[in-house]
Amino acid sequence: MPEESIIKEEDRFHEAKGEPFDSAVCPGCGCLCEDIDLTLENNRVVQAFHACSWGLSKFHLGHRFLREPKHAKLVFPARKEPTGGPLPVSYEEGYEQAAAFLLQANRVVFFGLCQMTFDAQLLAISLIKHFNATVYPSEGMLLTPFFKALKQHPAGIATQEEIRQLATTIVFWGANPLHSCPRLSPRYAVFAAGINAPERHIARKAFYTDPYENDTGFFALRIPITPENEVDRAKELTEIIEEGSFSVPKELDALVKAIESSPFVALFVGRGIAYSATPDALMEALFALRNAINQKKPCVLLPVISDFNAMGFYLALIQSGIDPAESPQVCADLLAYQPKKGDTLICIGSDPFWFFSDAQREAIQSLYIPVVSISSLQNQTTHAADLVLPVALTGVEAEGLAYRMDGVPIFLRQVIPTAQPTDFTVLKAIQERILTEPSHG
Amino acid sequence: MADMKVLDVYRLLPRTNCRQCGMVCMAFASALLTGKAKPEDCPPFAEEEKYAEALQKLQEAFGDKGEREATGLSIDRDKCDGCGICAAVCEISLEKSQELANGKGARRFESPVIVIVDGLITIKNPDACRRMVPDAPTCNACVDLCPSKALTFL
Ligand code: SF4
Ligand code: SF4
Ligand code: SF4
Ligand code: SF4
Repeated sequence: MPEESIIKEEDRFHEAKGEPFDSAVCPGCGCLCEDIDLTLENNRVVQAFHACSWGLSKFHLGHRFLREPKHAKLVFPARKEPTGGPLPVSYEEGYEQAAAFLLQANRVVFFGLCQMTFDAQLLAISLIKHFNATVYPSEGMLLTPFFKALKQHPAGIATQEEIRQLATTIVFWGANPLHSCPRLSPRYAVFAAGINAPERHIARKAFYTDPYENDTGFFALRIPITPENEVDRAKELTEIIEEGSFSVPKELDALVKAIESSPFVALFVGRGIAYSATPDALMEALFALRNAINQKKPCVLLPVISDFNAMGFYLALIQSGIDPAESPQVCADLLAYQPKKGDTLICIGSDPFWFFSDAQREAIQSLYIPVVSISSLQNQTTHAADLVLPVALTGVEAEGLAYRMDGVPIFLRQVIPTAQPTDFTVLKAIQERILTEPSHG
Repeated sequence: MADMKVLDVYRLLPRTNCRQCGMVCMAFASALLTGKAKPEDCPPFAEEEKYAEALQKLQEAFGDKGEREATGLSIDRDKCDGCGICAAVCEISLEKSQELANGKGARRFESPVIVIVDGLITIKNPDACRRMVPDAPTCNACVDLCPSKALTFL
């Protein structure tokens, strides 16, 4: 039998011809993988090494989004026609319109802001301050409770590299690393070799919390929880660690033993905490657990972040004098947003319409609330928006600074050219029009 | 027939080293696993009735499936999400790539068994896979630890 017929052609390794562009940074999630080797031909990425399928879709500008092919790159700025279809406009017209929508608003509400460069985030925050706007960051469900708890329980953070080297007990609390950050476990948390774990996953013990078994179970033991008992579970664990106990419940036994015998413990907390009845209290309880373990051995708590620069946004808030732990402007749950007549919504690098309830969507429409979307890729929000301003995709078509989920700054490189402006340029242009408006000077 | 190593294949062959296939039996087993030969290429199989059962087993494993990687690994591309756990747990890949051992993707000049290319597992160096090396310890690491169940051995 000829070899060709027995090996599937597409499974073989073929090196694509083209120009190498090595060590690009992936804007696919908060891991910001900085080891992506690309091959370019005619300013297109024709081969990508090491990016997971999620990250790959970014380098292909959404064209080869394996799971959701509809997320393609936006092409031109557009206003929604009265009939509902998109009417192409120039960027200049778009900036004027966006500024007009913002200036006419009684209340400006920002959504997203976690998938843009740090500089653009600082600029967006200056607009938030200017309008005294409300903001629903796309990672608000995780990071608003995180920063609230961090303020109560000040704690240092370790880098992913330190976790890889030192941690041998890994707990994913409300986090499914395989879905939110596919390469987190092979690169840092579980499978990579470290000083304390030369035998990689064999030397580490991993756990995850969930009411049900899921694919994390392939390498981690499940700690069963329910939305109702989750906080108590964390408190119970803290008590056992602090005081020791002769009667450790069966479900916590392996975890307690692992923590006791491990030189370094890493707690990864994910968006799943939003399902808890009381996410703020749960985050508090997890920080208390972290501190209890930390009395005996180093323990860090890190958020598992999907949106690549969510950490950057919260750091930008703090740098701009807005305390995300205290400010009523910074909200967590976008389902709590109550549309009001006179609102203007501005959605940047995010898709709140995917998450909104039907009631929220209907209210936004019936109250004629203008929606501005600044985005690279198509999504439900760009379909619903009254004004869409496409921007260059950071990390692929534009460069800029972002903060990894552990707070490490990483500079994303531009891989291919584009004629589209960056999110920074668009916000700057809108800001200029707002500041030159006589009544708002 | 899942999880067939070169020795398992070898045991099913006539093991006479008659060289009618142009090689010895062990080499032929390896050629079957890499898809470089098919079971019928061993003439004694076709000629002698006593090998019928073994031939059938090998044909089931290496017949006209057309979906096997050179290592005998079958990849379900719809399930794989390119997480790279398979590469990270492959001892041989780690030996062949210092970068991989450090938690990064292998460099272009390195030759691990597995690399993630275009968001999918891809076999770059099939000959190095433990399943291809006679007498190497049994290895299922990549299959066992793929959380998406995207891999099976034929
Ligand atoms: S894990 Fe995240 S940063 Fe790394 S390649 Fe996948 S999407 Fe990109
Ligand atoms: S023809 Fe068959 S029996 Fe003879 S050496 Fe080859 S594999 Fe072995
Ligand atoms: S085969 Fe499995 S472990 Fe390997 S990249 Fe695909 S999904 Fe991940
Ligand atoms: S079978 Fe073992 S050696 Fe072969 S690719 Fe899988 S993990 Fe690597």
